[in-house]
Amino acid sequence: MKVKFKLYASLRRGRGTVEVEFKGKTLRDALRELFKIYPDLSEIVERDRVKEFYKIFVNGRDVEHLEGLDTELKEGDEIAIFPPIAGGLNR
Amino acid sequence: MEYTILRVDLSKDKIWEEKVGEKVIKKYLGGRGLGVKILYEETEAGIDPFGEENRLIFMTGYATGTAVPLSGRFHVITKSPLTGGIGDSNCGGQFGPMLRFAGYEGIVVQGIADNPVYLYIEDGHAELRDASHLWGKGTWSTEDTLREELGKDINIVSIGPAGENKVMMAAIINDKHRAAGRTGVGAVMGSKKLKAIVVRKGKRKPEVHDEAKLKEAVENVRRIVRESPVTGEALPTYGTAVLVNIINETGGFPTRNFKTGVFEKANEISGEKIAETYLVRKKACWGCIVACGRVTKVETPPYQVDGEGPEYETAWSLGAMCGISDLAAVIKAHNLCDDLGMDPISFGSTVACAMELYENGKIPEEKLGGLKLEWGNPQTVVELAWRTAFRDGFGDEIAMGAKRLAEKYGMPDLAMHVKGLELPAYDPRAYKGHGLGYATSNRGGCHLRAYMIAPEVLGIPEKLDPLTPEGKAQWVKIFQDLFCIVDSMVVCKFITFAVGAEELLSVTNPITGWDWNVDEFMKAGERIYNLERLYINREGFDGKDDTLPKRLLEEPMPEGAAKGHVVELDKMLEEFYRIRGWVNGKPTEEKLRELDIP
Repeated sequence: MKVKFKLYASLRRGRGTVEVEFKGKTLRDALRELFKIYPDLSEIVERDRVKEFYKIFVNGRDVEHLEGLDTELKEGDEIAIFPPIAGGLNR
Repeated sequence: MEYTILRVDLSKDKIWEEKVGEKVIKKYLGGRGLGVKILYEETEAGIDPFGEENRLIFMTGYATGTAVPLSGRFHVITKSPLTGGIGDSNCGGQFGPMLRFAGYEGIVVQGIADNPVYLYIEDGHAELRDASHLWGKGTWSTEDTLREELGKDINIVSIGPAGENKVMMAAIINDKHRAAGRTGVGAVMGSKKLKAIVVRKGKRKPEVHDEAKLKEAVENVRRIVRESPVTGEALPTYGTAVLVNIINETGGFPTRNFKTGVFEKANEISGEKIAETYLVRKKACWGCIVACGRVTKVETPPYQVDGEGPEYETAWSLGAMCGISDLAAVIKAHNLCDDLGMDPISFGSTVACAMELYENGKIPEEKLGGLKLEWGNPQTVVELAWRTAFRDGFGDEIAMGAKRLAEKYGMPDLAMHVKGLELPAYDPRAYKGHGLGYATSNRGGCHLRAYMIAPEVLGIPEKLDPLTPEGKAQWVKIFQDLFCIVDSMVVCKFITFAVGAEELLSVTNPITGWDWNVDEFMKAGERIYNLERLYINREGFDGKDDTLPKRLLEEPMPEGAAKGHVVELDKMLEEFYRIRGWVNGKPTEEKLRELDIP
């Protein structure tokens, strides 16, 4: 399946939008493919979770409010990734 | 703890001093709290905002100008000509600390001068001076002229043509680019014929009870602010416009007068784009370690300008709200608003309202004097900034604000406002709690009375699902009370991206010599919010005004993450009133007794 990643702020580094074709169903599977293309982006996952203060939105919904990395994707989904511009000290 | 307040009666050409003692400071803190207390007690219900009896109050607080980071601000309080309710607005720059260093915690202005004047303050003395040579000038030229005349070691707040012409959305400007923008405070200053206030840099030190303890607390706060991803990284790197893409992605970036929450060209006006194109350097207010200000320069025609911005709010109001993606034009219009002394949120929102009225065939072509009012025309917004400030042609109609404009042309529901104040840059159909914050804001459509975007999008202090109304009311109350404290002590709201009530209290006790706990501290915030509520109740506002534009309650969001959503306000409001101890938007007798007001 094909999905579109949109990279923002310091993750952009001239890349903007990246289309990724991957095998599987979940965000985890899609990210695995993305990291193969851009290994530097693997910083956004830590201990099998979205790293603290990073944000991943699937079609605008924070995956924190969906199923996290297990969120199921469908063809054409748009996935926006933001570096720590959001998220405080969680207090 | 004692404050020294400068009192000015422009009608009687009289100046005197007044002391505010510990007892009052403990109840109202300073800034916004002390301001509303003075306004409530000294004015009657129903006064003309442009009349002699209205007060125009500039107020700092116990933290202003101390070692507390982000304490370079002041608050302005008055009766709003735009809304007829509480007018209040917070401003950065240098003026707040400079006023304290020159001898005063606040200034209360009443009366109307015969001819334009400015107020000059130096080392605990003040006088009124002729300002006829400044009348008609923009705020930039006003500052430049005064510096040429008086030297460089002064700081100035002033109004531009918008304030002089009593444009309903006129602002008071400090340091050319920092604005007490909202609720038309600049129009009140204009009505008093007070062009500017000048303070010369002084040596008075703000009162601090325990310097050593304060130093320790400040070090801790500074560390937390530096380590926060928002205040230590995002805001310094991209400015507030870092929010453009994240708010657009989450489907709540109001586009074309809130018709939708997704702007197809958001990236063109984003913080990332500003950093790639027109950014020269970043800039900080007094005592700030964040430096969210953007110094920018556009060198190519037709929008050349050497200035600042845009902020998140102006990228939106002068951009997406009007369907505009030309960043150079947005920067130009932003700077015109600063120079002319006008609130770009209310201005851009009123232009967008006009664009939709035009789209509906309500505004006849002959009214427009050649202006093109279709969506997305950058020249229109730039041109209308001039015309509005000078009340020229159709600008005279924009000058009345969105509510009056939409009523005049028979489609009142097209004004995106609450209590007469135009809404800012978040569509609450995508952030339900933020909608409750808008609806119950005392000053009207405002994101700075309860910034629910923090929990609902940014995850601060904890992550709340933006699309559910459940459990939001208690958070709105906490934010409203906390922000009353922040606006009254006075520090920048951005500090709350990093720290909470405990840290704010950790600097409060050493400055004041009090021994407060968090409950007592938050109670002061609650008292201030309730006194503001009493003020607007007295002016006729009640539960019927704690609402949102029909579009946000009834028209489902057409696309994006919040597709199909409206704001389920009633449910949240009922819970909110219960938690607040209010009935129909009014505090109960019991609540007032508990808070010991009025």
